[in-house]
Amino acid sequence: MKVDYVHDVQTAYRKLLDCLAKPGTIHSLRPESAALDLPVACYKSTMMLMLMFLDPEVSFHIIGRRQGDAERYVTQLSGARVSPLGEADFVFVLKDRDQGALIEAIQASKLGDLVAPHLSATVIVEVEKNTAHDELLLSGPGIQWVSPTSIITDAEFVDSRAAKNVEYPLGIEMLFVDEDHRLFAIPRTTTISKVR
Amino acid sequence: MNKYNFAFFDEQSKREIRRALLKAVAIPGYQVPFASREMPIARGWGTGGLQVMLAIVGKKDVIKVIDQGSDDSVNAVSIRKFIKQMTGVLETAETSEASIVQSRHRVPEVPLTGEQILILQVPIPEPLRETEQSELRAKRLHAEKEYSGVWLSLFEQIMKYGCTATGADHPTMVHERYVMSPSPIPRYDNRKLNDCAALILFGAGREKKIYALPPYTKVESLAFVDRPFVSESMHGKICRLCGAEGVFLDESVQAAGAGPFYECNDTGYCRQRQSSKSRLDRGEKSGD
Repeated sequence: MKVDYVHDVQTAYRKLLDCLAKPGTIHSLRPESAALDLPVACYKSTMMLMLMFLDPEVSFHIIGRRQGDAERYVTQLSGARVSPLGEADFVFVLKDRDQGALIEAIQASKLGDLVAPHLSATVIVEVEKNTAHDELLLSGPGIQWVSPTSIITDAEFVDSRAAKNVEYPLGIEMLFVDEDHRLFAIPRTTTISKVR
Repeated sequence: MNKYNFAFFDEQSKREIRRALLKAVAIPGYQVPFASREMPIARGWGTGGLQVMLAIVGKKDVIKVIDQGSDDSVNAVSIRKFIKQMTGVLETAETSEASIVQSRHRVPEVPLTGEQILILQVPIPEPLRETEQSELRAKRLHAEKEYSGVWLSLFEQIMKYGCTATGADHPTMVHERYVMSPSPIPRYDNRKLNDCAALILFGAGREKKIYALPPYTKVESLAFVDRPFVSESMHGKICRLCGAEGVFLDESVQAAGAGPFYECNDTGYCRQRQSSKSRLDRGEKSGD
């Protein structure tokens, strides 16, 4: 089955919108992205997000072992500009990244400013697994009470993210995709606390 | 064969609006600028709401479009027909059946659920516009959370009229950070924005701004401690068609000598109540 670049991207976007509006919600992008077959060394759902976001109006940065090849291909595909980490609108942190690369990406990604806080980066992270276990508790807009979640990735990301987003409305959005196409999103307004 | 793209826009236009919407959801109440497109209806007639709708709508959606509470007014009918023509989606007049509700100046009476999205059309998204004409200075005021101009404007209304005289579009504080225009909904509807289960998206096509309220976001109508926020009173008024009380009603004047009469402003809600009532009158079970 081939990917429908109009309707599959639309349904994937609605799932993402739901994830971001209701942090803690996990949606599967399998129906939309499973049929994607593009020569980039990333998850298929990450590729779907690239198709959703990237065009000549925005810039991106990829962090991974085959960064150069991936960036060249995605530029040809989308027309989006490759930018240094600190200037990119979208930062893709792939699964085969080096140790500590996620923390570095969080620290260095752009924040916008108080007049234009929307000019901050959106960081897309490939993780081992997104589940609804209660290792992390989320609170903030979009969450009625608290929402339990578990993101199996670099453990220190919670503290780095909190430090990055300390001066609301400045902050970054983080989207997490796992190998099984599960999508999870945390906007800057979400507070994450660790369950002891 | 359809001569137009699905949902009218090319994919790059949708991407632009979709990206803006994501940042809007991430920063509740903050106005995200976007490249507003030319639409086949005039600016000021709901192009912002329409663009948001076309950027998110999919084949499986069921849409409802209302204008000042009515499913049948010219603006609502035109927009609904256009969306249907461009997408082929189903339409409904019942709020509970819709996955996306586009509205001009009302929040439906039937409480929205977490599975629904409400899109509000916005003529003037900047709540500081009355006191600050410069766009750049207004942005700086938002950046510094400097809202004394809005407070002063409300204070002056109280001094002049004895109460706030905003009518519609009474400014709100969102997530304790941004003062936001709720669009020209009546004050009666402001409370529905607070802690709403649905995602609410605001589109201002002429002013090229998009903003949003994620579900369960704190939205407070601006008011003073000694002058609390007061919405329009519907006390003692009843819809003459369906008998509803405690909903937002339109007042109409009868022939000389007779008093005014009232009808539900939300026509979909009123029709639903009337049909339930007539079913009950016929002795059928409610909900059949």
